[in-house]
Amino acid sequence: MTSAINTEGLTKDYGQHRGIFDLNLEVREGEAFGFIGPNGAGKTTTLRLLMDLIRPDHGRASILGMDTQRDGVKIRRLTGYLPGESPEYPNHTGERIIDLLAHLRGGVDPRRVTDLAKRFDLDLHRKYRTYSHGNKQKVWLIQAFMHDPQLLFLDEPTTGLDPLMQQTFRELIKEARERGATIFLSSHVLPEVQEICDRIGVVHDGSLRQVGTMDELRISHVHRVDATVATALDAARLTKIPGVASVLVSDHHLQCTVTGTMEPLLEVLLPAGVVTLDSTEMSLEEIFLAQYGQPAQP
Amino acid sequence: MDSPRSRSLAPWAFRSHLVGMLAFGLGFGASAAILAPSYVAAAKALAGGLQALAAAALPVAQSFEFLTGPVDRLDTVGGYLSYKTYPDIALLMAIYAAIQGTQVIRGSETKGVFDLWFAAGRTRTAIFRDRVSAFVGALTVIVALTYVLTVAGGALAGVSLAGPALGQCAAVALVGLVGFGFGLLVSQFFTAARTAAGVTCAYLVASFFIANLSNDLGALTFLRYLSPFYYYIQARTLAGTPFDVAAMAVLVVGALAAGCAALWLYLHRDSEGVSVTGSRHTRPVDYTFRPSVVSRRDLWLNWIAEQPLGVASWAIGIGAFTAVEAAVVPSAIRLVDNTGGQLKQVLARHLAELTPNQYLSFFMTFAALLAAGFMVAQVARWASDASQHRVEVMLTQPVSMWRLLVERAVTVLVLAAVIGLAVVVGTWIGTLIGGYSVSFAGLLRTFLDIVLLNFAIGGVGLVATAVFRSAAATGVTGGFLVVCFFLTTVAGLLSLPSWTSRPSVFDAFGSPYLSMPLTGSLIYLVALGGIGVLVAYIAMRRGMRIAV
Repeated sequence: MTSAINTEGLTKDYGQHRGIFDLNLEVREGEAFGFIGPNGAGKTTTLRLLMDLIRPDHGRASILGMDTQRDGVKIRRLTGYLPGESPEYPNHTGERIIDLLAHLRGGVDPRRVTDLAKRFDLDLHRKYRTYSHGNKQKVWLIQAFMHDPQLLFLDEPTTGLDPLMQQTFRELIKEARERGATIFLSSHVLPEVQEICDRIGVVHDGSLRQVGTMDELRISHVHRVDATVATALDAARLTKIPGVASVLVSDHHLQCTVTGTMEPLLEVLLPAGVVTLDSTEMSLEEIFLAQYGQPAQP
Repeated sequence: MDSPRSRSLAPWAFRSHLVGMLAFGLGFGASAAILAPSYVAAAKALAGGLQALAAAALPVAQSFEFLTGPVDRLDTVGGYLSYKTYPDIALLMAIYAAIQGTQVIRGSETKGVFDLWFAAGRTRTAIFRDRVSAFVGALTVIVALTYVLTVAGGALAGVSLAGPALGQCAAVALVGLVGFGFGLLVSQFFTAARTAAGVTCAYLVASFFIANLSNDLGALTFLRYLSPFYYYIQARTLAGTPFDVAAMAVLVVGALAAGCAALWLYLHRDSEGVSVTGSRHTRPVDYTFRPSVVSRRDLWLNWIAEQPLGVASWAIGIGAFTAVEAAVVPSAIRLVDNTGGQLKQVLARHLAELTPNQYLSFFMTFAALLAAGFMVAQVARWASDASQHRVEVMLTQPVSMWRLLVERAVTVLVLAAVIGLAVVVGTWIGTLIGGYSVSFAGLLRTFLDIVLLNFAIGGVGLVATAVFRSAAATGVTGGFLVVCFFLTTVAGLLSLPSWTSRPSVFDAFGSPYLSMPLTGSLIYLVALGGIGVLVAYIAMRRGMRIAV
C-alpha cells in the first residue's frame, strides 16, 4: 500500500516552543488517521503545512506521492479541506459560497451538493451571517466532501454539530472510506477519533509522542484500578511498583492506573486483604489525560 | 452573595479608537500645519504679498465653492485654511464619525461581542453610554490635535490662530457629533453596519454639496437646513466669520436628537434585530443547489460580482462629480476673464490661451483623487478577505498564490476601466451641459491614465495587504496617497525642485486630457503596479514562513 501522506523531519518553529518539530509521519492510502493532542499542540500547524498554506522551516512533506510545495495545486485538486477556523462570508448565501468554491474546482455534481445539504439539513438559500455556528460548520463540511476527494483533511470537524449531525458526519466518513479515500482527522474529541480512525498519532508540545492503532496504543493495557483492602496501605511503596501510576490512597481505599501486567500490584494488595477490586480498561481519552495531564477541551 | 458591579467599557472602547483618533487628528492637523506656512511662502514670491495672492486666487477659489463652501479672506492665513483644508476636515470628520456611529452598537452586535458584554452584566443603556462617551473622548482628541497643529502652523506662518481656530475646531467637532448621531440612528434600521454606514455617508456627502451650493438651489434652498455643513459654514472663525452660537446650538440639538432617538430604538428592538421589520413570511427549506448560470471560475469575475452596488455607487458618484466639474468650466472661465486680474496675467504668461480644455484638464486631477479613493476602498476589501480567512479558503482549492495575485491585478484593471469610463462619460455629459466641445483624444488619454494610476495604487495596495493582512493595509495605502498628494501640492506651492514630487503617483498622472504623460511617468505607474504584484507574491510567500 502506498503512502497518502509522508513527512520527513517536518518542522515549523514559531518560537517559545510553539509549532511542530521534526514530524516524521506516514499515513497509508485508504487509512483513517487521527491526529490528537491538546490545544496548541501543533495539530492545525501540521494541517496547514500539509495544505501548503504555510511553509516549513525544515523537512518536507508529500501527499499522494507529490511534493506539497511543488505540486500544491495538483494536490488540492484531489483533496478536501475543512478549516479549523471558519471563513466569514456574511453577505453570501450558503449556495453562493459553495458555488464559488465548486467553480474554482472546475465544477461539481450539483446533485451531490443537494444531497449533502439534505443530509446535513442545511438551507442553502439563507445568508451565511444568519446561520448558527453549527450550520456554518455544515457549509464547510459540504465544500470539503462535495467533490468526493481522495484525501480529506478535517480540522475539528464536528465543532458545533448536534449529535444527529455528528452521526451524519460519521456516515459520510464511512462512505468516503468505502470508496477508498484517506482521512486525516485532527481533533481533541477523543471518542470521535476512537470511533473513526484506524491509527492515531498523539502530538504534544509540538512533538509526535505516539503513533499506533487503538490496539497498539492499548498494548500496554492501561487499567484504572479501584481497590479496598482490610489493612492500611503504604502509598510510597505502591508508587514504586512498576507500571503503577496516579496513586491515590485514602485510608483503606486505593485508586491508581496500571500499565501492563497487574501481578506486581496484586503481590502487594493480596497480603493486605483485598475486600473489593475493580479494574476497567481506560479509554483513549483517559490514557491521554493520564499521560499528558491536560484535559481534552471542546 | 453580592457580585462586584460591572465596570465601564468606556476605557477599553476609547483605546479601540486609538489608531483612528491619532491618524485623523495628526492628519487633519498636519494638513493645516503644512499649508499655512506654504501659503505665506508662496505669497512672498509676489510683489503684493498675501493681498496679491488672494486677489489672484479668489476667482479660481470661487469657481470651486461647490467643493469648499463660501470663500472669504484669502488675504489671511486663517481664511486660506478655512477654504483650502477645513472643508475637507469637516467632511472627513463627519464621515469618520458616522462610520464609528454605525460600528459602536450595530458593529459590535454583528461581531457578536455585544452578547458577551450583555452577558457580563452591562445593561443596554450602560453599553450605549460607555461606547458613546468613548467616541466623544476620541473626537475630542482628534479636534484637539487639529487645533494644536493649526495654531502651530499659524505660528510657523507668523500669525496667531489660537483664537480663530478655536471656534472653527468646535464647529468641526459638532459636525462630527452630528455625523456620529446619524450613524447611530441609521444603524438601528439595518442589520449590517456597512449598509448603515453607506446610507449615512451618502447623506452626509449629499448634504455637504447642498450646503456649498445652497445659494444656487432655487426652490430647493430649504434643503440646506437639513445639512449639518450649512450650520458649520456659519462658524468659520478662521475666515473671520463670527462664531454663530445659534447655528452651533442647532448642531448640538441635532446630535442629541439623533443620539436619543437611536437609544430609544436600540432599547426597543431585539439584539441584532432592526427597528422596522417588513412582513414576515415563512419560506420552505430549500436544499437544492443550483450552480450559477454564468460560470465564475475566474476569481476576478467573482470579486467584481460581489460588489455590484459598491462599484455602481463609486462609478455614478465619480461620473456625476466630473459632469459637474465639466459643466462649470464656462462659468469658471467667465469669472477669471472678468475678475482674474493678476491670476489671468500669470496664467497667460504660461499658456498661449485659456481654453476650456485647459480648465478641464485641471479639473481632471480631482477625478484622479476620487479614483484613488476608490482603489483604497478595494484595498480595504482585500484586507478584509485576508483577515476573515477568505483568502485561505481560496488557497485550499486548486488555486495557486500566483493566480490569486494575478487575478487581483486583473480585478484592479477591470474596475479601473469602469471608473475611467465613468470619468469619460461624466465629462462628456458635463461638456454637453456646458455647451462646449470635448476632445475625444483627451478623454481616451485620461481613461488610459486613470487605469494606469489605479494599477499603480493597486500594486501598492497588494503589497500592503500581503505584508499586513489586516486593516493596516488600508491605512498604509491611504497614507501613501496622502504623502503623494502633499508631495505634489507642497512642491508646487514652495517651488521645490521637480524631483521632490516625482515619486508622487499624482505627479506621474500629469495632465492626460491635454497631453500624454511623460514616458518616464507612464513607466513609473506601470512599474508600481507590475512590481507591486511581484513584491506582493514574495511577501505572501515570506508570510507563509512567518504566519501564525
